[in-house]
Amino acid sequence: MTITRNNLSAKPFSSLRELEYKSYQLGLLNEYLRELTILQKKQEILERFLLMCMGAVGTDKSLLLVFDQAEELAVYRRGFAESQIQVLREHALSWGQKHFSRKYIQKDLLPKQVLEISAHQSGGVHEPDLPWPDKTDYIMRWTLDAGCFGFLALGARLDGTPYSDLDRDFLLQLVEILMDSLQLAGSRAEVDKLNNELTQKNKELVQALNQAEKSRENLDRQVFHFKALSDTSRELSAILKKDKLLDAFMLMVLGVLSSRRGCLILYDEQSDKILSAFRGQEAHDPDSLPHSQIKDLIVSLYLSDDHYTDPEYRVQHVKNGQLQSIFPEPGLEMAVAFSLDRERFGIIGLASRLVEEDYSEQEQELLISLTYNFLPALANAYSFETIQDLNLDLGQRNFELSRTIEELKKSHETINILQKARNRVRDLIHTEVSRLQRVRVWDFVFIIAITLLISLPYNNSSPGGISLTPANWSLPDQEVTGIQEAADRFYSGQAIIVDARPNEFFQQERIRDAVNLPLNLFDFMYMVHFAGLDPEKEIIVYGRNISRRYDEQVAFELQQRGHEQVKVMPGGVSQWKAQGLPVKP
Amino acid sequence: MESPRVAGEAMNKSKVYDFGLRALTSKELAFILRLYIGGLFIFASLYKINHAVEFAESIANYQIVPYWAVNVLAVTMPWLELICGLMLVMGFRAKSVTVMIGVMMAMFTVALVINVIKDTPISCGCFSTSGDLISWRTVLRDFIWLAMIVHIYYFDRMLHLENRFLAMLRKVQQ
Amino acid sequence: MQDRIQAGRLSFIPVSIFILLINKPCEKYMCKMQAYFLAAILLGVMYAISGCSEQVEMTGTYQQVSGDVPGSSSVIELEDTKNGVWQTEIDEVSFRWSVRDNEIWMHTKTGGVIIGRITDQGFVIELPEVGSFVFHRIR
Repeated sequence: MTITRNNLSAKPFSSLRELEYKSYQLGLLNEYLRELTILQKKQEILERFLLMCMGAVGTDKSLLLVFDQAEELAVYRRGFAESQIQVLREHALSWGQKHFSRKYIQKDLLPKQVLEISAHQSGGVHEPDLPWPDKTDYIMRWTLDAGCFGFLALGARLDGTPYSDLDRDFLLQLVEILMDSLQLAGSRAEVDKLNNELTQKNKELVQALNQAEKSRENLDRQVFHFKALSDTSRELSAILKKDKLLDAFMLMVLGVLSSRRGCLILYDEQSDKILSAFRGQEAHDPDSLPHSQIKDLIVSLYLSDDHYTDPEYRVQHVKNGQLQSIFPEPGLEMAVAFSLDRERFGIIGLASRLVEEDYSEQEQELLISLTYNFLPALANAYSFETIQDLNLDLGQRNFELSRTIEELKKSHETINILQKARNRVRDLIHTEVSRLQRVRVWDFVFIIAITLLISLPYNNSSPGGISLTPANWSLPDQEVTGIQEAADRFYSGQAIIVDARPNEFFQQERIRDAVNLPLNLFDFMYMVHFAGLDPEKEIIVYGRNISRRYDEQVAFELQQRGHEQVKVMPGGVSQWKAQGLPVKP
Repeated sequence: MESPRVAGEAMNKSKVYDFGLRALTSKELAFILRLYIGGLFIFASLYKINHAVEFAESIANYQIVPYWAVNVLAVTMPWLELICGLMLVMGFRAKSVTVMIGVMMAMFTVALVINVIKDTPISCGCFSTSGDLISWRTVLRDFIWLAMIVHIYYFDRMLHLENRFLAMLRKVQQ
Repeated sequence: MQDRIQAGRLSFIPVSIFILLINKPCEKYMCKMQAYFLAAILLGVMYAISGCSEQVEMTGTYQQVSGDVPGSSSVIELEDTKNGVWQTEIDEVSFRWSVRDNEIWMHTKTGGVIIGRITDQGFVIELPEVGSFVFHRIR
């Protein structure tokens, strides 16, 4: 703290009085210091200071201008009237702004200082251009720092004495004390403010800490839930059997939510089956539950068919009120209905918890999430079942197919063999048929043989039978005559000529005057016509062709009848004609 | 407008022609002819079997067969006719029998033609000593019979005694 | 006799038609054959029956009424056994006889046939180059 003295001479304190005064002033200073330092508020300090100042110096007019940051001006006055300082007020603000704004910038260069401006000057405009009110004897400018500076103006002393050096020193020291205490107060205020801030910050911190704590708790819970979900989904996905799945899920749910009892009922409308899993202290008999009621309850939760598969509505919380109507015993406190699809749905119900808490919202959410996780595993189990069935079916079909293939192979072989046989048989038949169809020589032989076989015996036994050998061979030889000879004898009337041929030939052409005695009518003709013939008469018989020797046979017959002179003329009509002998017609 | 009508008529004509051809070559016709020829032979043979002497005379009248064969022929020929006729009617070994009958008929026809040319005043001798002399009408009749036999040979297929066996074979063949 | 021939010739037609008709409906071949043979046998039986009812009434003795014959008496005797005898004073000739329609056929031993016309009283026969002989039935 430097005290700059202005217009003060360095005089040593010679008198006792001065010393007493000084010690008195020091005592005052000490007192004031003690008092001021106790005070905390700036305002109080300034007002007290003013009083002190006035008291210490002995004036009744004092004015204190305090600039706060060159923007605010606080005026403390005692003794001065308001009207007097009005002008000062107006000017002071602008002055402060003008002056100290510069210095404010150069904060570092602004020391804490006290500057005596003037003393013993009355009225008028003093430095620094501020309209001090009248009767201001002592003006001092003090600067604590950029944020706090001001003026102290004192009126004249009551006893009329001017301000002595000691007074001035004293005032300076007082102002110093003021400044110190202001500073202290400021510091205290700062400290208070800081304290407050600190407290505030503390409070906030504590709040934040609490919140963090809460968040951590939440996070922990969520972690736990997620872990539960992942664990359940992992474990459930491994189970492919429906009943085991339901049991495992029930177990998990009970574990996760620490429930005492729980039941899970699954309806399968397609196959009209009900699956249930119970865990806990008492297991319900599945048949004792009112199935249709439960089913109706579940169905009532799904408003339309789409709800069954809608991802938001698939799992739904069941209100407690609805539960009580179904499970009348004190039991289920939380239930969730779920649906896999339109035909498969169910309900999970949990009883009270092992811990003494109710099911909170989060637990409900957890249950719903668990159930959501459960659904795919259930779907998997169903699919697995279907796959198993299909596999079984497939295996069976495969087996049957392989058997059929075996049989087919065998049949194919058999068919091949049969086809070969058929081809062989067909060829055989073809040859047979063509053989049968053809005309065979053997047939003729056969026919002729049969003919002979039948005709000969028949001929032998029949009354109309004839001898097979020509008659001529069994006849004795006949006498033969030539044409001329026969003609001579005929025309001499010695012999008669007999035509032995059938009548038609006779009529067609004959020897003139010959008589017809056909062989085939011999008996008749002879009896009728020739019976009276002289047996001695010579008869010349003619008539033969390649097929018959009529003449010989007739000659024989005639001989048989007693005619001896019978001759045969083999020439016949042709030779007779050739000899030029007459023929008829 | 001409050509379609003509075409239609031609079509009709060809249809008629086809039908006629089908009828002419049908196995039904052959069957009828077969029955006729068979019956004819059977009927013709009956008299001749019982009156062998007369038949011998008939054969001799033709003046073709040598004298030493006449009687044998007279005895066997009617039986041959009878048996062939029967077999033809029955349908047993029909093809061979038809050949045999055709041969016989051909022989008869030849003999007939020769004698008609020679103007031999004989009766045909086919059925009995009827008294009608042979003429070109007889020859025509024989030729008609011959044609029938030819037809039978080529087209006869129905109702053969052995056809049962054949039909079975054919069915198996298919 | 002619009637029989005609009958035979005519009945052939319905028989063949019958056989043709059974060709289609009868599927089995044996059935066809059986029907066919049945028809044939029926026909034969009909034929035989119609043939059996022939006139056997010619049996008897006939006296020659007109015609040149050596001797005075000339009798033809027709027996049931289809044998006949023509007896004249000097000789006799035996033959076999049969009746066809209104003709009497006499078959000689040597292979000839004399065809006589049956009349109310008997029959008339004609020998070629000789003449006709009329016979009246006496018994």
